Order: sequence, then C-alpha cells, then structure tokens
Amino acid sequence: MLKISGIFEITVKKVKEPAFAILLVIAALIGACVSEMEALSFKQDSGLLFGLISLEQGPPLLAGFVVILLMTMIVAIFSGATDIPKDIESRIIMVVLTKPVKRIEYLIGKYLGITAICVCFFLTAAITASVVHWAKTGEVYAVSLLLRQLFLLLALFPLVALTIMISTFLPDISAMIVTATYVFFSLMISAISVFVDMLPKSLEIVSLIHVVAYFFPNFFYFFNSCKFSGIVLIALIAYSFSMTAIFLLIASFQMNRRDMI
Amino acid sequence: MNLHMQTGRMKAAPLIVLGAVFLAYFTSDAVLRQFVLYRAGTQSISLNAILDKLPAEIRDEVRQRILVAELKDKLLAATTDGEKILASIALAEAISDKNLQEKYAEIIDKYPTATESAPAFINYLMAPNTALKSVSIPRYHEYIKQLHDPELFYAIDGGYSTLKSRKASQKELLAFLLPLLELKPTYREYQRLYVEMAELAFQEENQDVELKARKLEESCGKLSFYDKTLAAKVKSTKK
Repeated sequence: MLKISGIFEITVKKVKEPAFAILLVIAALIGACVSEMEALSFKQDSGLLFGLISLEQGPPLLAGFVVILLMTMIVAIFSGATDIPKDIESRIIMVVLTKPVKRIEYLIGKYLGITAICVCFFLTAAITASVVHWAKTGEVYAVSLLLRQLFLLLALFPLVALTIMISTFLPDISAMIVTATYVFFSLMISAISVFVDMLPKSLEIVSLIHVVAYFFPNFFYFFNSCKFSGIVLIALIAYSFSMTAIFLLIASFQMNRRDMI
Repeated sequence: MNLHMQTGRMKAAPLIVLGAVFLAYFTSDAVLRQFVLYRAGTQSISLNAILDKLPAEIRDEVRQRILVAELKDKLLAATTDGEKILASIALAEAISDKNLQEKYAEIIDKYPTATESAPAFINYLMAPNTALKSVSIPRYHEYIKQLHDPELFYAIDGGYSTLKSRKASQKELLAFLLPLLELKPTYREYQRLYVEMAELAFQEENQDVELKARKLEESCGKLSFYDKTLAAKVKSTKK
C-alpha cells in the first residue's frame, strides 16, 4: 500500500507544476461559463439515442456538468495516455521498478494519481459552476441535484483505466487516438445495444450485438436519469468499478509481459 | 506441504478476483440494461417510432423480421396446445405461404382434435391431389363433432366457403351441411347456412332435408346474433 501511495504521490506531484495551475484556471473558467446551462433534456423524436435518455425522473442532469465531464474526459485521455509511455521513454520506469515495487503496484499508483488529477479538475469546475450559479441567481443547488452531477464521476473511473490500459500497448499519441476512437465506438455500440434490447429476443442479430456490446463500456448508463437509489445505484457503482478492474487487469497483464527497454 | 498449499492459494487468488470482477460486471450490466428497458417502456418509446426513421427501402424488411421474431418469442412462450397452434400458424403465415401450408398439414397430424386446428382443417378440406394433404367431408364432420359455438359455426361456415371456392358439386355441398340438421342452433348466424341448405336440397330434390332445413331456418329467425349475445354477456359481467 505504501508503495502504491508513493507512485501516487509522484504522479500527483504534477499539481505543483505551473501547467497544472493553468489547467485548474481553465477548469474554473469552464465551470463559470456553463453555470447557467439548463437541465439536459432531449425530445423523444430527436433521435434513437436520446429518446432513451429522456430525463423525467429524479434530479435532472445539468447540461453544464455534462460539458464539465466531457472536458474532464479530454484531460483524462490526455494524461492517461501520456503518463506511462513518457515514463517508459524517459526510463523513469526502470528506476522505479528497480526498487521493490511490483508492476501492478506501479500501475495502480499511476491510475489513482491520474484519477485524482481528473477528479480535481472536475471538482474545481463543478464548485466554480455552483458558486457562479449562486452568485448570479441567488439559488443554491439542492444536495440531491449536486449528488446526481457527482455520479458522473463514475464514468470517469473506467475511462482513466481504459486509457492507461491502451497506453501500455501503444505510444502516447496513438493511445490517445485509439482511446478516443474506442470511446466513440462504445457510444455507438451502446446505443445500438439498447435499441436491440427493444427487439424480440428471437431476432438473430440480438445475441450477436449483445456479445459485441460486452466488449465496449456502456456510457449511457451514467447519463440515464433516475432517482439513483437502491439496486440501480449499487449496479452503477459495481459497473463502474468492475469495468475499471477489468481494464486495469488487462493493463497489468500487458505490463508484466512487455519489455520496458 | 504448507508451502505447497500456500503456492496453490496464491495461484487461486487472481482467478477468484477475476471471477468476482466479471461476475460484478455482467450482473451490474444486466441490472442496468433492464432498468433502461423499463424506463424506455414506461415512457412508451415506441419501436415503430424508431423504425419509421429507417430508410423506406429497408423498413419493410426490418418490420417483417421483427414480426417473425416476435411471433417466434410468442411460440416459445406458449404453454397450452391451443396457444402453440395459434402462435405457430401466425408465425408460418408471416414467413411464407408455403410454410403456412406445411404448418397446416403438421397441425392436422399433431393436433387432430384441438379447437384451434380449425383453420388447418378448413384449408385442406377436399384439397386437390397436388396439395400436401386432403381432408374428406366425413373426416371433417368427425373433427367438428367436438367443437362448440361459436367455433363450431365458424368451422362449418369456413368449410362451406372453402368447398364453394373449390367448386364442389351441389351434392357435396349438401352432404357437407347435413350435420346442421342434428344441431340445435343457438345464434341467428346459422340462418344463412340453413337457407343455403334448403336451396341445395330443393335443387337435389331432397324434400325431407329441405323441410327440415326450412323449419330450422325459421327457428333461427327468433334467435339473436352472436355479437349481441356476447355484448349482453360482457355487460352482465361488468355489472
């Protein structure tokens, strides 16, 4: 555990760099810009995807926070895809691994560090958005509404793990492109799989799409509006963490297999 | 020994973790999937509305495939013989006419006494030699013996229409309607069949049958139509 926190500290040290301060300022600016955005809603006839994500139940998802999440995702892809390849390229990883640190510990430490940076970015933007909203309108967001927005972070955990996993296979730029493409395909496949679920089970394509869909995370689950209580919330948390674990397990397998020189 | 056991445990631990992770993944995915479907259902996101967005060239084919798949699901869910017969007929009808003919023939062999088999018997009543099967008039009479109204009326009426479309002789048509003389009609709908029977008997110079048919035709005039009886029944049930 100590070793993991050591790697975590090294990763998070970036916070002290001026570049990160600029990033936080950007986050705050984004938060301020999106503070006035309304609840996210789509008309049922506005398309196959969005008809299923209509938001009528429970605290709504605010469009501003979705924008913040998208920005955080970009940060996650950027830092997740570059961190490990950079360590390998600069041979820092050799220094770390000559210490009594296992590769899996290095990986978990890196993951936690990058996730912490992304959460920091998200929270900075979210807090700024809430404060600016209060300053402009005099209204304070309800706790349940804020909690609903925070659940968006659950989408971030597997995304960081996914990016790290891809970065163990590919160099940084390629990892970024592949991650972005994979996320795009995930959204497409998720939408198709939800649509296919509405079709009769005997349709041959149904089982095929289901099998394919298991290879792509369904990010729509995180945007679905509901009261988020009981089994759905538990399932959402389990989904996020199990996916994260799967990606990290694959990354760990690759880390153990690959040559670091 | 202890070292051996420890090594074994160390090997098993990652597998257990892996199993648990995948179990959590599949279970949570199934729960969330059901939840999304439930939401889609409660907000009545209609499949048709989505299908309408498809290009016209493929829409009909997709609809057809969905219909067939829905009927297959229905057939799988059917528990009683009656449900199975109705679902399999609907499915065969949706696939092709050839398939329907084969299904009818199969139903006659498999469910020779079921009420729901009536469309199959009607279809093959006095069918030509080229058909997969042919049901003779006596065999048809044997089948309708176990039917009750309104299925009995529909079976006689449907069979009669089939015979007419096959250009059966007057003698055959009269022979087909003969069991009606043994019946005590319960609905006005039968009147039409008795009129036909009386006319056929007149042309065949069978006075005895004609007289009986006329008498029953008259008695039918005093009866109410099936629809009215049904409506009255529904009304009394509601009360």
